[in-house]
Amino acid sequence: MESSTWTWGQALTVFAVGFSGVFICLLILQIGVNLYSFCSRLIVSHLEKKKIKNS
Amino acid sequence: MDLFTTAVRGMGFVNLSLGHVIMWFIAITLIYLAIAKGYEPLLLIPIGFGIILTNLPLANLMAENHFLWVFYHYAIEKWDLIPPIIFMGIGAMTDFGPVIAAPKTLLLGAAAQLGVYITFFGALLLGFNLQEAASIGIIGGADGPTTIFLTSKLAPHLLGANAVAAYSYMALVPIIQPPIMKLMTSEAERKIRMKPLRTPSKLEKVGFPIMACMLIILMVPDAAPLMGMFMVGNLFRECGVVERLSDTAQNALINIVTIFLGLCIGATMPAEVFLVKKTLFVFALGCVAFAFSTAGGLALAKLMNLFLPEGKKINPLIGSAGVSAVPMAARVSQNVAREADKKNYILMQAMGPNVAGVIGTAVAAGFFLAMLGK
Repeated sequence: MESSTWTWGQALTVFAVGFSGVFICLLILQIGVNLYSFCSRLIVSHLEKKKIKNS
Repeated sequence: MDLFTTAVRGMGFVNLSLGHVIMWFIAITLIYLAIAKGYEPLLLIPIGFGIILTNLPLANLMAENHFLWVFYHYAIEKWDLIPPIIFMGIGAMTDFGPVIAAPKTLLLGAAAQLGVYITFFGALLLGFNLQEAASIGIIGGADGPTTIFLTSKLAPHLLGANAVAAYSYMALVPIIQPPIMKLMTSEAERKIRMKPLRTPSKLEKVGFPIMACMLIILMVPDAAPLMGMFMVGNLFRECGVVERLSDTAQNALINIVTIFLGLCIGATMPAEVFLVKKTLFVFALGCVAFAFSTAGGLALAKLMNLFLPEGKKINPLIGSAGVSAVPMAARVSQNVAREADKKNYILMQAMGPNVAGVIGTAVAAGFFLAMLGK
């Protein structure tokens, strides 16, 4: 984007895309962390059960 | 006689200007604040000394191919090496446990970027162009390396002012934030107690930096240098098998680059560049950015409480920790909460948005780069 000339339309686009983008990105990360935590806890409990069974 | 005149003309004293003296005063003030008040000493001391060095007439340390210029040109301006290396060190020092235990706090880190965008518009109204406005706005993220990273790419001529504003205001978080926090929350809200966080398993902690790095960089590739290094540093810390690398990243390496970063940033502030109207605007806008970022985090925390059932409500004070200044902003949340209720401990809960703020600011910088980078 040209640095010397700009329009308010461009500024609004930067604001809208940027701010909503940060929210969407961190929302997706939040969903990812929730899913990942759920799966890791499942794996950990499965491994623990297996360990108890074997012993 | 000619030789004598040449020798005298070659002295710095003869070439002194009022601007140089003002810059020495600013530099000594920064060094004083760092030593006497403990304001960000790791950065403000080398920055202050860098300002003195660059404002000694005829010393020419920032002239092309000279000592400090080489570091500045290759490590910051051209190749952007230093901010990602600092991020690796920060990653090695960061515990993502609070974020993993309470992922909803990630959104507070996003809301606390409000100041970045409000200031972006403020800077445009004051006559800055889009690139300059973005680099000033990012000060509101309260993250020094990200501010330097973005400014060096979008508006290198503002690097000195932006970096000093970012680090100065980071040091002033305990002064700027509490009045806004008290204004936006009621006594009852400040007294809300939160349940202790669960302790995430090692598997969760080891996998988090890999998963988060992939997700974030897939969404915002321009944030890759910062996020990639941040997460690899954290993996060094959490995996438990590369203690030497983790130790180097969070101690020796970050210390070495911090020395040169500070000196070079200070050296970008010769009087003729720094003592202009725009610098004053940068400092004023930086303060606005911090205030709105604090307010943004608090506002979202209050909004979230409207939808959370009784017993699961969050103390809105943790929202203000969404500005990245780690761990100072979380400590401020804790202090304000304890003023209302001496037995209220929210430090660990506030670390979640605090760490999320670091990610949020790097993502915001990535979006600015994607849209405004050349």
